[in-house]
Amino acid sequence: MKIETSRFGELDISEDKILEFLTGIPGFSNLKKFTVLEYKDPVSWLQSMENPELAFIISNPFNLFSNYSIKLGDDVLKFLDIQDDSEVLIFVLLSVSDNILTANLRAPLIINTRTRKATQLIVDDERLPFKTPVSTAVK
Amino acid sequence: MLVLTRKQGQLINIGEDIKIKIVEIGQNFVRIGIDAPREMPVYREELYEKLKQLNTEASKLDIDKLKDFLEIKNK
Repeated sequence: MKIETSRFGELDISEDKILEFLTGIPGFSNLKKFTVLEYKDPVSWLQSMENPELAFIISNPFNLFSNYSIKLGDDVLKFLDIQDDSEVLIFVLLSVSDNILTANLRAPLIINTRTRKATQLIVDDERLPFKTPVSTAVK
Repeated sequence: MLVLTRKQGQLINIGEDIKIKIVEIGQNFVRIGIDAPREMPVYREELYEKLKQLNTEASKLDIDKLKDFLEIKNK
């Protein structure tokens, strides 16, 4: 499927790379279809299939924070039709505030790689901050 | 807005699939139980609003800001 993007020009995305965020991404909940574009380690892009300009910079939280862990409740497993841990891919959104690169560990993106269903959760754990510094100051 | 009076333990149905139960009434709080289909995410409003705001911020992140970070990581 060919899509136009503001950052990467025209892309041809195969059907099996298209993720469906069943309830959208809060703030953009009318948009459901996204695709992950590999970038430079350890970040990737989550590009909207429907809005050329919308793309998030995402990263694998387990690579950034070796002690990161979340527990997925039965409702989420059921919602995304997750049958086995090996099907699950988790990313977090990166952001910069006050020149600090932060990751949103509280609201990870949960992807079922088999069914390509995805959702963004708010984890029910108040110890996880919405903004966790990833590194020292960035430009 | 529809306003209904309920006692502790009583429920409200919204359509077929959503049930709201008044679990406990305290002096200045109520505890509410909600049964809803998973495709209807239920969050405290302030958390959901915060997430919307953070996602909007994240969508504006310029990759150039990560230049140093990526250079260090890819050394």
